[in-house]
Parts: sequence; structure tokens; C-alpha cells
Amino acid sequence: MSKMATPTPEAKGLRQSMAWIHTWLGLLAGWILFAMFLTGTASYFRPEITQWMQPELRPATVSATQAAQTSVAYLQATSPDDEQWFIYLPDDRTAETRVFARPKPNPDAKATPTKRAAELKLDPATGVPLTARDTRGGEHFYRFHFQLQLPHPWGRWLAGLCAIFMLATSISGVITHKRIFVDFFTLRWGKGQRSWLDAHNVSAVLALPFHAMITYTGLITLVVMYMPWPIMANYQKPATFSAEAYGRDNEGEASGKAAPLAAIGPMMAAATREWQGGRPRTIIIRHPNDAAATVTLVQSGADQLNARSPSVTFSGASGARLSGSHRPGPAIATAGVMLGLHIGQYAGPVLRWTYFLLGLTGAAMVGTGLLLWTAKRRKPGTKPFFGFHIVERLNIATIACLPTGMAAYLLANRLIPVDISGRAGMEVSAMFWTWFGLATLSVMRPVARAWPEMLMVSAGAFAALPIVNMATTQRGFFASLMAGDGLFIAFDLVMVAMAALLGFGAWKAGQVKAKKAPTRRRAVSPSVQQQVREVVDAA
Amino acid sequence: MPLEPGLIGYAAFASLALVIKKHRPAPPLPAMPSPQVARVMGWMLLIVSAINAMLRFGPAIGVVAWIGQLCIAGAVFVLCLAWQPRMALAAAIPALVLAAGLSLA
Amino acid sequence: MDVRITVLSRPQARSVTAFVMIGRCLTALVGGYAAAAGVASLTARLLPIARAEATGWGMIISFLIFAILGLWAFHQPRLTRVATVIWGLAALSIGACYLLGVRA
Repeated sequence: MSKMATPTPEAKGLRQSMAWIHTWLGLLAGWILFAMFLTGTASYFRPEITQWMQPELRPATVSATQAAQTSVAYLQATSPDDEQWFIYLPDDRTAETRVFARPKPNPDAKATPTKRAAELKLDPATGVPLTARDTRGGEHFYRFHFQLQLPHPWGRWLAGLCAIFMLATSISGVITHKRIFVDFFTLRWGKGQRSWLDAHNVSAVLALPFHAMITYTGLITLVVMYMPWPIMANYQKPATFSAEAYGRDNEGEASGKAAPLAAIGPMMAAATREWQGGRPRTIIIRHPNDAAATVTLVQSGADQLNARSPSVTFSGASGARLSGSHRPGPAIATAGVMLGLHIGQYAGPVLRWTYFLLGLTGAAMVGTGLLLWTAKRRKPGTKPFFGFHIVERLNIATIACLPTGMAAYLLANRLIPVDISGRAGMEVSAMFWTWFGLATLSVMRPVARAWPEMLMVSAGAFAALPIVNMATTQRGFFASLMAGDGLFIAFDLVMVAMAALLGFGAWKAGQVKAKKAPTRRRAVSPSVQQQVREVVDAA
Repeated sequence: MPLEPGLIGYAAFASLALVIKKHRPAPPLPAMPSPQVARVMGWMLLIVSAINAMLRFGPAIGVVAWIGQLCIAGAVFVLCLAWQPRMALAAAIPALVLAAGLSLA
Repeated sequence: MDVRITVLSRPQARSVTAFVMIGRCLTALVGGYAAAAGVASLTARLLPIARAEATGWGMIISFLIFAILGLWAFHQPRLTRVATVIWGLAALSIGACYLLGVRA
């Protein structure tokens, strides 16, 4: 192939300017986007990761109605005078009931505000609080995905900036790519920079609908924060917009007259009838045991594409239906569907795995793009410029070291003693110490060695997970196999697959290095990186 | 498991690859369609895959599932094509058989 | 100010081009955001449909406007034209929103 895609600097035209902006926007946002793609992909299994990280919890499955009744009974017994109760019912992916109670504000203004009570996990069958190791579970990857472990609101703004860069990069990439259909199936291995371009094109073009969707809908998830100005143009108070768009929030005052709370079962049945079989997932009870009490049931997000689930509100005293959310108009429904498409709560098992694999193609696209930047600028025999070294090192730190950090988070969950205080924070620290520690270590190694070594470490970390799990819990692979515990079996298999993938990458990287190292020491890295990238691309 | 849209999509991509000269293997596979036939077959299979997705997932989620599974099928096909081109193209037949089996099951 | 972005690497014009590049980046990022916010808000304010719906459409299209304006800022060779259009669009649309006031 003599034709190179690199435009000459003097050439004019849309394609050239788009290629330029594609390169630099992609480079600037690439490392953060890679981390966002990887943690976001893991977040499609957020409840499953949480379950895996609390292996001592194995509550029996009961009906949603029974779970609602037991949790209301528990809250009645412990804090009947609260201002609000939140109950999150178990479903196919979460085994326990989660409750959160907000006490009445203290009328004495001088008193120290009551400490926000922690969320509790209840056994759905009995309503008894469950105790398990303290962990942030899958929530950690999910939060990192859009908050980047930075103080609020900076993490969200940075994530948003990277997302808009990604959007602009996608558009400019499509304009730049002149042979989308001719090269649709083209992936040539072992041809240096050409292979990098192929891998980048293939991972970008084949999953383009997903990349475009996930980028735009990602921006939409936080649109009220990123772009509140259209609300300001139409509303004196932003709260009026949410009330008009998503239905009025029944923030009524308590009457002060006591009245027993009506039974929750008939309300659940009535809501399910109203939703033609839709399942309630969240219960919000305001002013329990007051004559003005309300019970709001929100439908499960697993029931429909639109993530803004319908809700229905009942009187807590009489059990009569008070109001229900109205059908949203096309724009609000579109935004809700976009939100739903991004978080994928509606997705059943097959579609969720599809999302997971698509997320990996996103990480592959960003990663191959980053490596293509270095492959294009590496001239054998010449001393690379300073910025080149930085990019090269950051590529290793992100692509080869972040996976180890994620594995370290899971390993820490099994290795940190169960009853030690502050262990949830220690798990999170384990991820970042491992990630940044290895990144620092990799800087001390020559680039050509750092790639295979760091990939080998990450492969080892993933391979260790099933073993450590077997050694520290009763739910090792074979025990899970005997018990037919699909989640734990799948988790171990995915960890082994990740280990195999990263190990294959490390092996290929080392092999290429060994073959070429004696002749040209500096020039080996492109092919090393290329092999590595191909492997990650294969994910 | 509703994997037929992806499996049929794989066969569709294999068929469409046969339209492009550089992807046509030499010596030819036994029973390899001509580029014209392969083009029609590829698009037909894509349509069948879409219909199947609508039937299996319902119209709204069907569109999402169809596109999603096509993306994955395409990525798998291209990786296989780069690695073992003849096997990758021939695998379209078992993919279709498996899809037929799954839709009957 | 006919300075093409592609001559950035030529040393003789380095300080000028650096200045132009910073102006271009600021125009694309800050100006592009302001213009996208202004156009989205004006759309939301003027669309003759229910205001929640109009607001929704405005917010949904805003990011596409931002991305396209930002890309165009790096495509158009003349920085003066880029700055005029983007900052002008921002000023006009935001000004119009102010003059129109919040929807009743």
C-alpha cells in the first residue's frame, strides 16, 4: 500500500483540517476517554459487581410485594416519625432491599444537624438488616466514569469536556476517513503504522452507531448541568421545568394529625395494573403515619427504553390513588430514551453483554488512536521530541496500567480484612495507588520493555482474582459451579478472559521486541505497541 | 438466547465482503457466490437480521439490539477475516445454521 | 490576519501563530459554548410549542451546535471570520434572549 492517509501540511480542504483537529482533540482527551470507556463498560455490570464484592450476602428471592411489606415493617419499627422513606426493591439483578430514611429536620435551629443516616440493606424475606463488608462495589466504577474521582463539580465538567471533544472527534473522524466503505473490512496485521490505522478505523467504523450514541447520550445524562441555559430562557425557577417535564413532585406538608399507613400491597398491585404489568422498583413514602402521607411508586427502569420511569402516587392514609406521571411530550421522551440508551438499565442479559463488548470496542478505538499518534511520529534513527516521550509514557500509564488498577480494586475487596473500619475507602485507594504506582514504575523502564511488563502485571492481577476469590470466600469457581451460581461463574470466566487477553498482548509485545531488538533498539516499539493494541482491539 | 440477529449479521457481512475483490479468496471457496449474488444475499441477510431482531426484542429495543449485535458481529468478522480469511468466510454457513436452530428452539 | 492553522510549525511565524492558535482555541471552546448555549436558548424560547418541550429540544440540539461550531473554527483559515461569526452569534442569540425575557 503506497497510499498513506497522512495529508501534506500544505494541502487545503475540509478533509485536511478535520484530520488535524481529529488528531489533536483525540490526543488531548484520549487518556481520560480511555479510562471513561473502561470504567463505563464495567458499570454495565454495576449491580453484579456489587454482589460479587459482598459475597457473604445471599438472600433468598421473594416477591417484590413481600420485600416491600417487610421493609415498611422494619422502618415502622425503627423510625416511624421520619420525614421520608426511600425503599429500593430487589429485582433480577439485586438480591436485597435497600432502604434509606430521612429524619425530620430538627425544629431547634441551633441543634447540630442530625447526621445523614446510611443506606441499609435488608433481607427481603424478613426485613432484617443485612451486614456485609463495607464496600463501594460497582458504584465506584460508575462514579469514576463521570466524576473521575475529582471534587464536585470539577470531575463532571472534565468528563463533559472530554465527551464534547469525543463528539467533535467522531464527526471530524468520519469526515476525514475517505474510504469508509472500501476499507470497511480491512485489517492488515504486522504492517506498522498502516495496521494501527486499520485497527483504529475498524474499531471506530464498525461500532460507529454505538460510539455516536454513547457520546451524545452521555452528554445528555448531565445536560441540566452542562447546558442549563434553555431552562433559564423559559422558566423563572428551574424547579418549574422539572415539574412540568417529569411531573409534579408531591412535596406536601405534614398535617400533624396521626393516621396509620395503609397497606403497601394493594398499592403495588394497583400500580402494576396501571402500567400493564410494569413492576414497581422504588417506593418513596413522605410523612409516614401522618394523615397527609403519600406513597409514590416508580416503575422499574428495566421495563422500558425511557429511563424516566412513570410513577404513581397514593394517599398513605387511605391508599387511594392521588396522581400519576403524565405521558411526556416528544422532546422530553427523546431525552429520556437517550438517557436510557446510555445507562442501559432496560437491557436484558444478551443486550447487556452486547453493550459490554461495544464498550470495549470504544476503549479499543481510543487506545488505537493514541498509539497511532505515536506510530505516525516515530522516525527510526532520529531523537524524538519531548512531547513524544510524554505521550508514549502516558499511553503506557493509561492503556497498560489502568486495567491493573481496576483488578487491584477487586483484589483489595478480598484481601482487606472484612471488619476493619474504613475498608471501602481503602479499596478505592488500592485502585489508584496501584494504577499510579505502576505508571510511575513504568517510566523507569525502557518503552519497549514497559509495554510487555506492565501488560504482564495486569494479566497476572486478573488471573489472581479467581484464585484469591476461591481462597478467601466459600464461593470459589467450583463451589459456584456446583451451586449453579451464574454470576460468580461468569465473573471468574471474565477475569480469566481478561487475563488471557492481556497476557497474550504481553507475550506478543515481548516476542516482537526479542525479534527486532538486536538490530534497532529505538524502532521496536511501534510494532510492540501494535501487537498489544491489536490484542486489546480484539476485545 | 436471542443471538440470531448477530449470527445472521455475521453471515451478511461475510457475504458483503465477497463483493469486494480484495477479500475474495483465491483459490475460490467451494460454492462461492459471484459478487452480484453476494451483494443481494448480504443485503437480504441484513434485512432478515433486522426482522428477526424486531420479532425477538420488540420494535423499540429490537432496533437497538439489531444495531448492537451487528456492530459486534462486524468486529468479530473483521478480526477473523484478518486472521483466517477462508475460515472466516466459510463460518457464515454454521452461523446461519446456528441462527436457524436458535430461532426454532 | 490570513494565517492558516497549518503553518503553525513554521518557525518564522511562531509567535504570531501561537497567538492566533490561542485565539482560535478560545473562540472554539468558550465562544463555541456561548454560541451553542445562546442558539439553544433562543430556540427554546421561540419554538411555538409547550415550553417544557421547547426547552427539551433546545438542550438536545445544543451539543451538536457546539461540536459543529468548534470544528468549523479550526476549518476556516481566517481567524477574524471565525471570531466574528462565533462571538457574533453568541452575542446576538444571548442578547435576543435577554431582550425577549423569560417566557410567560
